[in-house]
Amino acid sequence: MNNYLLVEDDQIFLFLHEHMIKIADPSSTIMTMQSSVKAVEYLEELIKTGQEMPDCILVDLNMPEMNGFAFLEYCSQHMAGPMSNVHIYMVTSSLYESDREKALSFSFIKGFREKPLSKEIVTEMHGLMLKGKAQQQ
Amino acid sequence: MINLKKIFNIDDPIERQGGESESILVSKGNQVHLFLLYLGGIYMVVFALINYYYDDKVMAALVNVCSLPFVLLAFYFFKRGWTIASKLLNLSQIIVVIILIFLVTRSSHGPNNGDSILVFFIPVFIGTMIVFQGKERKFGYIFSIFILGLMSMLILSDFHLGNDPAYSQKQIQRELALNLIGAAIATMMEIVFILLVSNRIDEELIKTNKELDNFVYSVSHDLRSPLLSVKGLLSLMKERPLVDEKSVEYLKMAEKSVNHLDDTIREILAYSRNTRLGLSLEKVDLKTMAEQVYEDLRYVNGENISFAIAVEGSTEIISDKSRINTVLRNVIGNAIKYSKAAVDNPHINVTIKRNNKNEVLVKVEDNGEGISKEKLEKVFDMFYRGTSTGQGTGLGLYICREILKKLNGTITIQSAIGVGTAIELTIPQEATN
Repeated sequence: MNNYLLVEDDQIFLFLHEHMIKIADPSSTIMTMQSSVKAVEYLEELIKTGQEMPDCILVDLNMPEMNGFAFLEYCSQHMAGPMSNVHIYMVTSSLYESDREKALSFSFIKGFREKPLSKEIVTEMHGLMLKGKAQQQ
Repeated sequence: MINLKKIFNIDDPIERQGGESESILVSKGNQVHLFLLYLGGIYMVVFALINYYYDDKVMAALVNVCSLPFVLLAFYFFKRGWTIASKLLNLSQIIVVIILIFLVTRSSHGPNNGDSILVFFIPVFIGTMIVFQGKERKFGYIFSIFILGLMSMLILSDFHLGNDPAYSQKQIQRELALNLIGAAIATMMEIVFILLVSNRIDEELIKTNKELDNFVYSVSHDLRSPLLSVKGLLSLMKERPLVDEKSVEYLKMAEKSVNHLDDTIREILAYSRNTRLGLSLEKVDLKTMAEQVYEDLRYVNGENISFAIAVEGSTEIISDKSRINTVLRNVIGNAIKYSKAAVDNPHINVTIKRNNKNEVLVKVEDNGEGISKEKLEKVFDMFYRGTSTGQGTGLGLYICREILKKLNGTITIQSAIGVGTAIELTIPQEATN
């Protein structure tokens, strides 16, 4: 069973991605956060209380308060260890190659995907997560 | 005052929105401006030396003839697509060089006090009136008045009525030395002026361009977001059992329209960025990029198309990553779009190899629908669409051609109905700005 954390300020995309994950990976559990600040607080709480980190984090790029890059920057500086096995994807509507490059420059990021997530993309993510888990064992 | 800008239909480079073309206008215009000034300076020094040692009219005429190739060279530069403003600005320089030739020949019998400084007064004054406004114009006028003052002082130092007096060798030397000092001061002032103006305009343009880019970025994001959510909702609906066949049909139609609109936004953005922005050069691995583009696109189109890349030699080039990405996305995207419907075993083959002209050849072949001969000639035209199926915006291949032009590359296409299409890109190994 995979745990997903969706960080996205747009309610429709949250709804969409949640449903698409449920279709492609029915046994998964999904946590949604409409703000990356709240997501950071949530992840810090998980680390503090020794709970399991999500298997996959899907983070949007353009968000108020803290955008996707700031979120990744914060994660790389403050929780690099616990994040090492988490599959992080940036999911955005940006068409800019520079955004893709910047996102992929973070060592722990697994990919840069365009919105909206399709069933095929979620299936691929799911497959990679299973592969990663098998390698860890 | 007569508005020369209106007469010559010249836009102001600062007022216009946009970036690179204006930036090129200013910097290239100034390059030639400087080039001609140096030419004028060298000319004066050579003339002064000849006059000093030989006092020979024949030699002076010879120098005039020798300067002609430089003038022709300057004309050659004008043919490289600059706007009328920069042409006019620099045309005034040509006129000045011609005046200088005339003055130098005329005065080859004796000192040439002040006359040669006209070379600085005329271009600065004309250029200031035509091209600049605001601070630049004011600064240009001050500089012109300064040059005029300097010229008057030199003329007054040797003012006389009637025929030229018989100059002694010492007098000629003194006047020539004065003349050269005056010209040197004026040259330095002119260079400082151009650099100041150029830097200020470049800064303004960079700022405007950055603001415009941020604006386009925000607009494209805000336009696409609701569109992509509709796209997502449509694909979500497809996953649910639908009531009847008609609903499925309507859904497909809606999806097609949304995709079309999304493609249009994407391509207008690519076109706008290609027109406005200068090249941003860095290392690009064509193989990795082609694979990444295919990975992105295969999910969008959802069909199982076999994709293979064959490589000969290094696939790394120095180029503009974003532009190369746009080209590959268009070309591979077309191959996917037009492959799937036509055959049972659709495939796309990409070959990347180098030629002996420091270029990389990228060939993208598919076994799709193909394009008829009469349509093939028009596929690179703006807004030309080869199909009536509603696919494509008619901008994709046009943008590819424009991008490759900018990179000094080429794009060619071969196709046959029912056989497939092959697009070949020639990309310089090292692009230059």
